[in-house]
Amino acid sequence: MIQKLLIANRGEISLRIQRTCKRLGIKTVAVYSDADKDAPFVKNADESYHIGGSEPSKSYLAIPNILKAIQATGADAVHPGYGFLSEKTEFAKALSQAKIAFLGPRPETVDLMGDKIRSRAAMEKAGVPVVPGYEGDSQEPSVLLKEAERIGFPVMIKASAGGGGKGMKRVFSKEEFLPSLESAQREAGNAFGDARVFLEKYIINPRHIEVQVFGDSSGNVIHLFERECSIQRRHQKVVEESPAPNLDPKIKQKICEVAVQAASSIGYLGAGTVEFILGEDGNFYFLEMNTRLQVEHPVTEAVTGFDLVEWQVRIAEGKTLTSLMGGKSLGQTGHAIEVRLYAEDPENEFLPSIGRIELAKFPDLQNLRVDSGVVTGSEVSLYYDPMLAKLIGYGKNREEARKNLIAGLEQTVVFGPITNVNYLKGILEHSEFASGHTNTHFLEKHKIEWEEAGEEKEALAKTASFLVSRTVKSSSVWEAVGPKGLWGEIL
Amino acid sequence: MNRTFRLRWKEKEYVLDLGETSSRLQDPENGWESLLTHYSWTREEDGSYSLPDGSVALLKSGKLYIHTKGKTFQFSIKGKESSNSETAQFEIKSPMPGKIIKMEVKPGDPVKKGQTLAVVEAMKMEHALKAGLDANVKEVHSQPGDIVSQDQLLVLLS
Repeated sequence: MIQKLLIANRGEISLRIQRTCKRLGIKTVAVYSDADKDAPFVKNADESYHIGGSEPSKSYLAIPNILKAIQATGADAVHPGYGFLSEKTEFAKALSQAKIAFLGPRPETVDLMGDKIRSRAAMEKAGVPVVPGYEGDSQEPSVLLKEAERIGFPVMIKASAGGGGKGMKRVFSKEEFLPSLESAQREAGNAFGDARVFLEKYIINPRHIEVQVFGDSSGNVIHLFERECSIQRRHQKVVEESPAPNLDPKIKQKICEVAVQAASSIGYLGAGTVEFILGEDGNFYFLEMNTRLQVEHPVTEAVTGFDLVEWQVRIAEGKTLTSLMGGKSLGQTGHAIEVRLYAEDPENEFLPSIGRIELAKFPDLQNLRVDSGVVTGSEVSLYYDPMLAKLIGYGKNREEARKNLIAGLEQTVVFGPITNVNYLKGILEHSEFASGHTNTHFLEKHKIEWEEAGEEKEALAKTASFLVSRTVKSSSVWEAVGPKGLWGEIL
Repeated sequence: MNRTFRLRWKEKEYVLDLGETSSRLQDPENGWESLLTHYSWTREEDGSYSLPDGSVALLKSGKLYIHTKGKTFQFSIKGKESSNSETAQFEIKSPMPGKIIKMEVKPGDPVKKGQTLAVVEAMKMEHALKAGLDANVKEVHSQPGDIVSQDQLLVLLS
């Protein structure tokens, strides 16, 4: 039995794992960098341990530092969250050698699926359809260009290591190819320390459908249905939902079966996700497998009623999937939609918006789950991903889930860094999103439609009235702060 | 005596004329002007102010934040801004805090509109800074590896 779990991560996912552990009576250890010393996830854990400087390479990515924290705190298990070390074979190996339970698959599986070239080959061998492409060893620009021409434009350049859209480029013509290749290799090198890339046929108007799978140590593998993650920006997911809307039941059944087939073929253990690209013609292809819990796991939790972190813990303890389900059957009940709240400016090319959060208020509503990593006073630093929170709307059908989530977004207040909250609301309110007919080009195609701010006058009027209430009506303000204080720059 | 504020939101500037008895709001650019509705703001424990309709306002560090009808606005109530758009075109500034990963020009280089001058990276995303017009590079203020802050001058064109 796991007694004390160290979470080798930060922010909302650390807090989310802590919640389940508290319920299960497992002690938690948070690890933190310099930049995170006052973060909510550090204070909320039973114990916390400092692991180094703000740069991820000096803390969250530094395996020796995490191992030291495990030793110092006596943790007997590690949850890697997502990102950071969650898909690093060396980390899984180091834990296995130290006899510390790793809440993830076996090191060999992490290794295999972490290499997109080898994983594609393994899937092809297992009879799982893969996208036509080039996954050869050569990284010579001239060879890659020739292969791209063979596959036929458009093609995708993708980083062999890592995930999450980094080092990924779409190329439409021969002329664009070499500059894009250079950029992709550089991004991949910076993000993963591995500049290798591979090529893939680019599917027109595709949908991104992924299947949550779980395997136990007795060799059983099951799926917990699909998630639609087609709403993406620069290949980063923005909106995720389950079930996938308007998905042909035959395709749905087949895609879930193929996911189980894929995971079974490699003896998968623990939580994983098999990602597919679904073409307009109904053909789908294996994209990659993520050997970790994903950001969007709450939508699956909402519709299946299971706590996936609890499953990870129990599977690491050797429990079987049958015992985890406790007689309950697998099914999707209702509908759930998740959005990712980022500190970024949608009207300035989505550049990260950094700084102190002057005010953070998240709604407490029925049928709305908020997994947040920040509070008033938190700093959004340039060192980490700018995701502040996830909001998950649930309803008995898609329309209800959508409306609940919109209500949640309307009551989400973050002052300080600029966030994408308005943008997210714009997506959910868009008629094409409401109809459920979306593909991965949705955000490019509909960019302009919600950039026009309609409520400007009303906001200004309220702002003005606020200033009136703070100045004209209340003379004490002037005494309290002095004429040069609050309004030091009155014209 | 009336007090006049200038509220900036993105590139727009609004004029707010607060009087003892009535107040006006103007958008000089679009020519509209409106008399203000008065609302009764309630102070919350966290220092913010709220309205019964869910609007939230906060004044902090020279900025006024307002959340209304699900939208968040951030107004700057600072004094006059300096650079006009003509000089701004010649000043290539970092749009975000980050790291310079490429500097593609040196002083004296002629550049074409749309040409990439430098590449800044933050949170593993690359952002190319391009020339807004045909010009010559006058000064270069940073080199690859430099950590830069938002609005820091990187390249000066002439």
